[in-house]
Amino acid sequence: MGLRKNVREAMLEAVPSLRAFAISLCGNVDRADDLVQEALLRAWANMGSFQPGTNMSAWLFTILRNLFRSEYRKRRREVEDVDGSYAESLTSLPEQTSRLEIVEFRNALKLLPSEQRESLILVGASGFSYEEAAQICGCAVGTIKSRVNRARSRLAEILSIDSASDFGPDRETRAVANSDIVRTDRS
Amino acid sequence: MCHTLVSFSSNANAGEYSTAGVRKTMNTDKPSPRIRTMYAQKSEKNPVVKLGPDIKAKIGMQLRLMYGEIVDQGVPERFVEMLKRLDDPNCEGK
Repeated sequence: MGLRKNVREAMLEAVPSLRAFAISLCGNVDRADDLVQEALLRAWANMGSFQPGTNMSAWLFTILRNLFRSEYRKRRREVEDVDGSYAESLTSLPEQTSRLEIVEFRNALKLLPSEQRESLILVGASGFSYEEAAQICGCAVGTIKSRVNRARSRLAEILSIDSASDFGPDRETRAVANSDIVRTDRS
Repeated sequence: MCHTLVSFSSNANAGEYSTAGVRKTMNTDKPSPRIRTMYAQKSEKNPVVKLGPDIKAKIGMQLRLMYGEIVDQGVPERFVEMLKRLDDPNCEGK
């Protein structure tokens, strides 16, 4: 019974991070929450396959990812609602600027191949080591490193980050300028 | 490339045969800064570009900010309820 209690508590503790990961996978809060719930139920049902002493968080992430891969991804509806329910769910953003930046960043993120995106999130946001991320994704450590590097490069390209100073008020100005160029090209 | 052509023509205008200039360019071990820049620009089409630590840091910050927005929402009630029910012997979760 002690193990069950511990597992339940570990699950509860992992929920916020699992949700953040799930949202980055499917881009829709409601679907992400369903995914998290399903993953937790599956983990509970397969508690025997968890090896005590290993990272429970990584185990839960693995289950969630596999679930997403096997069922949700087939539906080809991932990252469909980036500005909609996700943006609405953000109620406590400090400033409009950072809200805009986050939405813009998330839009850029969804342009990445899903393998690159999940690798970058696991390593760069969830706080897993390359080894743990490799375990979660079922691939080699070198593959994770390569995906993370590619993801960063692509993001820098999409967001036109040439230097650190490119984040900030200037970006808005440039975004407007760029959209003018696009309009001119198409007219 | 333009830069190189310009310097050739200026050599020709000065009345010198440009072969010396060509030889010099071709035998130089280190390409001129201009040529190095051109190579660097070409390689940017490759998905993997060496990024500076400041850019990595900025992307990392954005990632954690975005992720943190969700994490800060804590545990929605539906999960608290669901996990409570898991240990309930009358529930399917058992």
